[in-house]
Amino acid sequence: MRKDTKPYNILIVEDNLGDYVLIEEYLGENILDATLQRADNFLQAKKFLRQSPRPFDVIFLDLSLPDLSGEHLITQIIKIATGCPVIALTGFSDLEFSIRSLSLGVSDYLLKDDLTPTILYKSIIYSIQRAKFIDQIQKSEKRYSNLFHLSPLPMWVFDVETLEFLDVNRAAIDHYGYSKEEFLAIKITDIRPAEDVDEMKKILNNALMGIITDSKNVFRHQKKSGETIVVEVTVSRLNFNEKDAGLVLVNDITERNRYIKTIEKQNETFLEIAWIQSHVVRAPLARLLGLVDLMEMELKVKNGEIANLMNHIKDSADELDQIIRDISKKSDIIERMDNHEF
Amino acid sequence: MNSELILVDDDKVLLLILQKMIHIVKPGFRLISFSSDHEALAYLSENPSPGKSRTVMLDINLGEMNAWKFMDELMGRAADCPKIILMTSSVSSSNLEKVKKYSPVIGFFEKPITIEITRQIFELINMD
Repeated sequence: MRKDTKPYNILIVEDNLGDYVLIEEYLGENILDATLQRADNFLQAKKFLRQSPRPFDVIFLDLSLPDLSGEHLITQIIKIATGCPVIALTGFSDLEFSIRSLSLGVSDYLLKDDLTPTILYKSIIYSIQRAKFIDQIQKSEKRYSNLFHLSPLPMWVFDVETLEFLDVNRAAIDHYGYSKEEFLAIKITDIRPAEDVDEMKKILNNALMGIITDSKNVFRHQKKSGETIVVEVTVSRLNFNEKDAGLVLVNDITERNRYIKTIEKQNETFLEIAWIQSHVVRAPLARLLGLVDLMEMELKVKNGEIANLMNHIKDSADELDQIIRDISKKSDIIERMDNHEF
Repeated sequence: MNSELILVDDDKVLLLILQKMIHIVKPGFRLISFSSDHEALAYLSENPSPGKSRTVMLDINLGEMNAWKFMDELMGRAADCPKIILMTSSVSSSNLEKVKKYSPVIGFFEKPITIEITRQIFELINMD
């Protein structure tokens, strides 16, 4: 049979030398490169776990050691092992307890009297893989939790039946001025102007029934200070600790709205000015240009100096005409932007 | 002469300029001027001109009603709607689109109306 060539660093916590030798021998049958470390009591095991230059891949633990045994031993070892899989070694008399040890975090148990090289090897591979999966799941959970807690936008989870806050993130606490405890003691109806509550309940109920009335989802909220803000919210439904809940993401658009209103007002004024340029200012100018044209014709100007002056008037008027045309062209572009033609 | 030109513009100075230019280009051409849109409308409906070639030169930004409203009234009243030449002192392009919807309009000119443009206007009138 081909041996596993990967290097394994294994801690065996076993006070019985005979059992240790047996395990050593069995391991050698399937693993080529195993570094074994033996501890014959809990304190020594603790020392190895704390001081080993290289982390252990797996720990074998005899459930009765001279200085510690049973449940206490397991919880202590698992605490120090920090994620490294622990396989319990036990005799027939401890079978029931061994089964229970699985719920304490032990990844597998082996009956010493039933031990074979194959069972031992299989248990190692299985335990290491399982520990890796658990690690991945924990990391992924942490990532999702971070997405919530570290989000720069206020977020919270609320119970869709009682409307109570179930969880809030840091940004929500900072933005609304309530502490986490205060948030968890109030309802989502408490953070909006009283006159908006009925409308909000209606929208929420419609949303729960699958009717979407307003895709924009813009609401007014009220901070603890009483300040009213305009927010755009995104709500997703989720199951939170067995409760039907809504996950809310809030984007405060109060400032943005204020800017937009100012800009719109400025734009309106600007278009008005452009209209005046195009229509009102140009009317007397057109009159002037017409008069100059007529005078040239009527007077049949022969006198050099007057002809010269006429040309100057005409050039100036033409120049002014060009300026008004340029302004008008630019305002046309703005007007078309306003009508979304671009 | 069977042709007649009616000027409608609330800017009296422009009206004067136009009259003089037309006098230079076509001396003796039958010309009637109005600085009031209502008076112009009243004249047109009270004096139908069957068999006559009648052209109205109309300022777009009239005092009380604009040229569009003026034309709507005119087209509603008279069976023989005169030909229309529009004038505007505005350089905004938004009017151009509207012009297409009015079939009596045979010309559209930006002010100032110069001697040169006056000649072009007469070419338009005679062509029809």
